[in-house]
Amino acid sequence: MTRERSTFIIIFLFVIFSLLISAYTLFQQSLRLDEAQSLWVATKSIPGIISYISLDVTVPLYELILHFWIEAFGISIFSARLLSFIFFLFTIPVLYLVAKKSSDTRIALLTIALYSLSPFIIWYSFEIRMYTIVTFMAVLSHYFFLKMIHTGGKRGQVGYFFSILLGLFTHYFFIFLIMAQGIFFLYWFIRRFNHVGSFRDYVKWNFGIIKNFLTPVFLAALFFLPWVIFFLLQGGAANTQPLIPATTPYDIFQTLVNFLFGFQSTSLQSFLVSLWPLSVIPIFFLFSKRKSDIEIENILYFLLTVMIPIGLVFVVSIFFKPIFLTRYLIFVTPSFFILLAWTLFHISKQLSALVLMVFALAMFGFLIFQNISNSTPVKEDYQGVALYLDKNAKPDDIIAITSPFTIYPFEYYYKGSASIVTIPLWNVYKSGRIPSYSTVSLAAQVKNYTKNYGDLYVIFSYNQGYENSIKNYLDTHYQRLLIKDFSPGLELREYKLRYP
Amino acid sequence: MERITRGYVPNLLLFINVLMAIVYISWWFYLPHMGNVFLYALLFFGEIYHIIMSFGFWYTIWNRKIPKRVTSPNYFDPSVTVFITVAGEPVDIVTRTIKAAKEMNYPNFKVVVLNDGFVANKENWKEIERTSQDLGVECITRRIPGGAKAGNINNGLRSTQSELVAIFDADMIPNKDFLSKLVPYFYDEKVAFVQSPQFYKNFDQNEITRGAWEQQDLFFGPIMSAKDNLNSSFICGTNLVLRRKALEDVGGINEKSIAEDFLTSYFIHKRKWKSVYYPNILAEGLAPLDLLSYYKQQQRWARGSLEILFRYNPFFRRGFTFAQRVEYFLSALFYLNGLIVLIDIIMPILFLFFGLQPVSSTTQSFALYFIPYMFLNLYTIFLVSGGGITFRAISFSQASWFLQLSALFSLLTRRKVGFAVTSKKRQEGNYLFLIYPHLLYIVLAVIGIALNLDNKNPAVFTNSAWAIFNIIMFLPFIKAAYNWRSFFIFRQSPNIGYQE
Repeated sequence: MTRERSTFIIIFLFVIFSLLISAYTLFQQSLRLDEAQSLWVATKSIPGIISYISLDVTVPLYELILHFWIEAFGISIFSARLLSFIFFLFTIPVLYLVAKKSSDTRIALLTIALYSLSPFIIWYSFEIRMYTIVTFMAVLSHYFFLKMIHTGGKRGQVGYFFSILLGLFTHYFFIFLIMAQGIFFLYWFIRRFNHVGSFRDYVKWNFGIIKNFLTPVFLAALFFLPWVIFFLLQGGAANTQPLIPATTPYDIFQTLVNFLFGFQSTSLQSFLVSLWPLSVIPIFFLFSKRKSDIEIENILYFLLTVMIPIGLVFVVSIFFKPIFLTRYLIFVTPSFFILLAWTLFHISKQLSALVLMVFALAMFGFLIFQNISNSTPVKEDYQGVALYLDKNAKPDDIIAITSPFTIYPFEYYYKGSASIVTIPLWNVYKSGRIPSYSTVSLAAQVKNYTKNYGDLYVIFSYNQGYENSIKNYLDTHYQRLLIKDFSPGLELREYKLRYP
Repeated sequence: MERITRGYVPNLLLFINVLMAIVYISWWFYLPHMGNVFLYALLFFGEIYHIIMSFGFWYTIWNRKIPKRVTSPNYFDPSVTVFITVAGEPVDIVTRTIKAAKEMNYPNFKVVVLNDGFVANKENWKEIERTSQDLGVECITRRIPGGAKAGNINNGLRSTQSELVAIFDADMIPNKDFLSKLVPYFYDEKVAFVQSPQFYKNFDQNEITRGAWEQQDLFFGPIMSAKDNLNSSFICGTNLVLRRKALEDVGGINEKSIAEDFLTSYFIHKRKWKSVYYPNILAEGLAPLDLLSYYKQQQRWARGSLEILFRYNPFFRRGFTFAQRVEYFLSALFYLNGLIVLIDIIMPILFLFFGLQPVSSTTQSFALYFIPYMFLNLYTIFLVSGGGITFRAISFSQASWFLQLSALFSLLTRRKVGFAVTSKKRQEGNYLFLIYPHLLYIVLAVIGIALNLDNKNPAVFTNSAWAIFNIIMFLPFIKAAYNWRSFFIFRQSPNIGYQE
């Protein structure tokens, strides 16, 4: 057996093992806030889903699919997560095809191996959110886009139209991918100008090629436009936009580290980001003589579909408002892993097997660590809090949740008999914005509980800017009995409201 | 002239490169980034050097065109003397070259062996004379030394009368059509010389030949043909045809420099003659087979080129076009790279040992400027080389810093360096001493990293990563210096069994 083949076999064993372990660990994980929200929305009627989503910063396709899915297979975390996992599985053969058409079988195999080993991808493959669907649509759009420009057939055009339309209805950020494809198309078109005659004549003679690309894009925009108008008429999610911290260059590097090694503790991520000079080495390998015949243009296509979306999101975040979140950029991962496979595969013969094994081992190790470690920053252990309170909170105690919207995942798990409220007070069953916070209203709210309740349990998560104020007030006015951390950013505190 | 297809770089991309370089260098002009003033100034100087080299490269390849195909009337067959310069090379190698030279299909030429074995104290000088006689070609053996290879050729010029002379090193085997392809260019009476590439037929023999050839490939491919567009290509010592009149105009081949070819072209251009670069391979020779030969060859080129910079700076001499000034300046400036590499590699060591930091801001903000600039730069080189650039070629250029520094030192101290013919046979021996500076760097880096193992400052990780980056860049060069396999594998025990 050749060294190359045995390397591949070992890596694929890793992949299978990592999927099995991930299925075991991640299917059982606590529901996270966003998941709970998606699941909750999906239980509504179709008009209800559309109406609710139009008030939020997302688009409705995923919740609509989830709606039919849970109608068919029942509402359980397992079945809902399975939907995401199935789209992850759908992505793999299409990704293989895209990589193979752009390079060769070995690189295609390596691409899907690295993709399936990525702790980041695996994490979202088990999350009840739209991320695996948007990635699937991204890979489909690559496939049809490349087919369209290389063969010019109607199939490519139709496929491209559907993939970008569905992509847009899955995540707003898909537009950045279409922009990257547009820029590449422009480059590709200009590059073919052979300087016989003027450029104007060239455009005139080849207008059909331009039309081939623009038709699906315009049609998709046309079909998407009614939603955008509806969304804006509903207020453009003015009240529901997430609080995203200011973006810095660090975020870009952290995103790339996340793609490769998943979500690690803050100190480990900071360490990995600090090693950025080493990322220059792969660029040398990326732009060096290839062992097999790969079109330079293909490298550029995948480069642009990684760099342009990240770059644009970064620029918007710096100059307009912060929108930079790694998970929103998940649709660039297929291109990212194709480039990575190309790069790793074209290191010298002796080295590539070693580097591949080291890489696979590192990804595998980080995957396991991410899945089982309590310090993983994206973990939200509402299940753990609920189980704790099931055992410890008595019927005459009261549980307060802040931020208010984190009530969804908690309520899903909590089976105890203590009352549940939010700080600030918010009626989750009534639509409308969450009331604003003030210390005065907090004081009145808690004072009111002293009449009827013994202990107050406060669950802190998703700090909306007033978490410290609540902690300070309660710590200085009531006896604190307990502080307990469940996962990064998820803390439980217990206070004595009255003495018997 | 038509636009080239392979290795074509759109001017738009070069323009974007320029913009990106301006953005990048602007980071260095923002002085609040400054840490240690002296180190910052050194790095700043290095970056200015890189920017000048980059701008020069883009200027050179801007609007690169395919040269016009040249034809001449049938009656144009000026007399040519083919000089084969010999200074102790093995007789079998010289014999092959003489035979191939005699086989050339041109009506009006003779072959002359310029034998410098006697003045160079080589044992086989008499054998060369005998071989020449046996093969029916004239052999001119110098008895009065001086001027090294240049002196040998000038001696040959004095003893012959042909209008044109072709020059081959002893190992360069010309194709049959060498003269018939190059001589027609001399129909233009302003053409002084036509240079063709120096191809190494043994390029795949070992790490050194591969590295040497891959460097040559970039030089004799896009760089020389781009210089040709600017009437700035220069003589490379072998595989060329020269007009005697032009040589006489500049006093023959220049004997004052060890890079006689480079300086001769310099004076030829100064006297307003035209030069031509013929980009296809018409002769094949031997690459340096061991690190010592490579080292000596590169050091000779470095010393000769730096002389142009310090003693014949084209910006302070009359007679050149702007493009020629720029091109000679860039070719010479290239060999200052050793100094810049030294500045770059020493920074992480200074930080790891003494905590000295040239830059005070977060390195991720620097990376945001640096990586896109680097990306585009490497992509452009990749394109211009037709996808042929290798990591080894870049590594050899970077790792040659010590030999370039020693060439600079010898020039500044006016130490005389003799002309050494590049050996055509593998020199037996241990050349580890040539990489002592690199090994010392590795040792210092390892100690520096070890000393900071308990330091959690992100700057430690980043500087360690830079040190590792530099080591990775040196690896192919280090690998070529020694038979490392023998270092790790136990010597085989002598065969004590029966021999069949």
